[in-house]
Amino acid sequence: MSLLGLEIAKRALIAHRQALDVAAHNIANARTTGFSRQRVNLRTTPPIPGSTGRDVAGVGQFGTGMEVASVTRLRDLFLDRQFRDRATSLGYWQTRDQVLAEIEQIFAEPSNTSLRTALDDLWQAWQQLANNPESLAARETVLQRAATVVDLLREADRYLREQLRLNLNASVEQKVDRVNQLAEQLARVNERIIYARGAGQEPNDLMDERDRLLDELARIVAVDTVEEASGAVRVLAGGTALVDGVRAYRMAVQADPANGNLWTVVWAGTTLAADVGGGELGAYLELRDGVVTDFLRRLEDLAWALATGVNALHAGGYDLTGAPVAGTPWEQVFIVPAARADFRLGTLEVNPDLVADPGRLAAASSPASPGDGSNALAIAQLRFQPQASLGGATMDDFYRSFVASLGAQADGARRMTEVQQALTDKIDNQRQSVSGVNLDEEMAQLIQYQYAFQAAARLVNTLDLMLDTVINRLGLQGR
Amino acid sequence: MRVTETIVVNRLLADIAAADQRRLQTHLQMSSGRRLLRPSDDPIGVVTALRYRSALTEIKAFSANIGEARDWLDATESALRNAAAILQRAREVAVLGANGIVASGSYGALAEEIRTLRQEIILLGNSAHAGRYLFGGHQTVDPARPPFDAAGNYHGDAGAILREIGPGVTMQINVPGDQAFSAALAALDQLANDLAAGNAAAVGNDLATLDGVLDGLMALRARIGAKMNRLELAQMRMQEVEVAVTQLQSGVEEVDVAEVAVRLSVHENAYRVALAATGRLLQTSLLDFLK
Repeated sequence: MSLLGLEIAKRALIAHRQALDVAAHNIANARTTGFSRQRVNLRTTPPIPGSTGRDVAGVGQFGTGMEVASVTRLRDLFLDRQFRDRATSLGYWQTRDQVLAEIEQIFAEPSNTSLRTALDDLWQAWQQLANNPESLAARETVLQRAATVVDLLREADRYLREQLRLNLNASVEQKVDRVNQLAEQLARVNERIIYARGAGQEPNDLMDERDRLLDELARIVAVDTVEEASGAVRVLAGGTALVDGVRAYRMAVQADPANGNLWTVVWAGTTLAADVGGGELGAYLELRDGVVTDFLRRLEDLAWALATGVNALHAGGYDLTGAPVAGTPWEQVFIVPAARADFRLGTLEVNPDLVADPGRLAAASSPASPGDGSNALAIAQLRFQPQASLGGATMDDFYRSFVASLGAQADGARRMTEVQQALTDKIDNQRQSVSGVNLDEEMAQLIQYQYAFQAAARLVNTLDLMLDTVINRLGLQGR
Repeated sequence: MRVTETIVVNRLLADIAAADQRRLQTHLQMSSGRRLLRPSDDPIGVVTALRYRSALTEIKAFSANIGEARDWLDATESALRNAAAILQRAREVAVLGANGIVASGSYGALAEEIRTLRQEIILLGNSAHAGRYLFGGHQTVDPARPPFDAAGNYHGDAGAILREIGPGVTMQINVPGDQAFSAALAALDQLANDLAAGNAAAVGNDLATLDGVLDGLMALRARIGAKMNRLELAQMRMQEVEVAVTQLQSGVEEVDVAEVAVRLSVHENAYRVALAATGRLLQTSLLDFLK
């Protein structure tokens, strides 16, 4: 009688205890982000030739029990790839959605306190002046309302140019920092994976950690990943290696003099622009250089058309004293430079000389005619006139199309965010379906392994009794 | 599909968040009474709403202009009516003088009456509306220089005072004083002189001139009457348009309370159901059935 049975029972006890440990690990990590459930792969140990004691050949092989072959994680790499593609889009649209919603607060239409209301009021003030050209009060009103329009334009400009654009710029730098941190962490995880693989181990939890880092990275920039034989992952951003084995290449920000010294993203130590291709970082760059700049330009166009249109008509008029305003300090209503290229909303203002002496506002179109409001009327009618500098739109139309464009972009971003969120959730659910922990399932496993362990223990007990019989109870001869 | 705890929890959380979001949005519409709270709620609708809002301010401005133009024309009309009455009286005096039936000593008295009537016309020519001379052209305010001096010379100009009564539509509302009164003043001056001279034949001629002046005045009044009619029509149209645009605007911007109330209760219900489902789904586990 051999002791093989005891060995088999011992192997079973060890293997099932290990399987229980794995189930415990799964249960413990049921809600851990990025965790993939692990499975114990059991296999039989190599058999030995059977022997009846007399005859070597004939009875075939005897089993020798089993052992834990490996512990593997359940993961679908194809789903990971899809998830990261979606995550890049989601990061992009979510960022866009947030920023555009913020811009919408500034141009909160329809409302009674917006730039449009102020413009309506200004045109009405010119009308009132046309009706009452003799009245100083009507003149004061025109100048006050013009000042309100200028204030709102400058406020919008200050917000878009200084606050929002600089915030976006700061976000670019933060995101680049985060990319570098993640790349560094990925390189460290790669190193440990290579080491573990070299030692013949399956580094399941390290690979989970790596995938979690990649998920986060994919939200910020568009990345491609290649898993290498060593187990390390190569990460490419815009075709250039961000992480290669144990090495992380850094991105850096560089002030761009051609773009108001805002940051551009380059590969550290070079002047080579990094192609971020979407994600949160891509959205920040695009919002900063595209959307916000475009809105700013449109506001400037509107202000320019307003200021130059009013100024041109005003310069041809006559003030309350009956004198022409052309060539006097009161010629311009809005102070603007001569060329559009030099025009900035930040320097737009209502002519302080006129504010100091409202009587100089040229309401009349003929000399020495205090009762003539026809110049003011002509200015009031500018409202209905197509402006060549606005592509043939009236100022009202232009402003409305500006609001429509903002609304449509914000609406589009919101819808796209919802769509991307739904897609990401769907893929993540599929991923969870493969990799997630189901507690009921783990409980069932737990019971299975527990019974197997108990049975193996019972086997030890049985063998013990058998050996006891053989050793202690078979008479006393030979003692 | 294999279902895991994370899927269940994520799904439930997402559903609750979505139901809550819809509930909040409807609640916001309900409490503000507005369907459009920001441009992205409905970009096309917002632009339409903005157009209506601007149209309303324009309509209000035009209505105010029309009202003011009517007041001005009313005042002008009334001055011209008085002037016509005065000229009628002058005509009666002239008829007396032309018939030669007055005693020769009375001619002086008749001439004196005509001179007084002429002064009254000058006063009418200098009448003001809301602090502005009606008949001075663009010379509307200078108290030292009214449209007519004591001798009846015109110091105003031919300037037109315009009111915008519709988009791009303007109307001249004033009548320069020389057009309205200079002929009458000259005729009365001539008449007074002829009466003072006792020249009945010349007074007869003056009578014909006076008739011509009166005809001119009537034509002027008819023109003003026609303008008043036009303004009245324009005002009525503006009022109709204002009502229509106000309605359109509220249709675009405001919520249908009944509809939103129904939607609100639907969303609230959905939210409650989502919460209830969460409570029940998270309760069941194999653990409940193991000893």
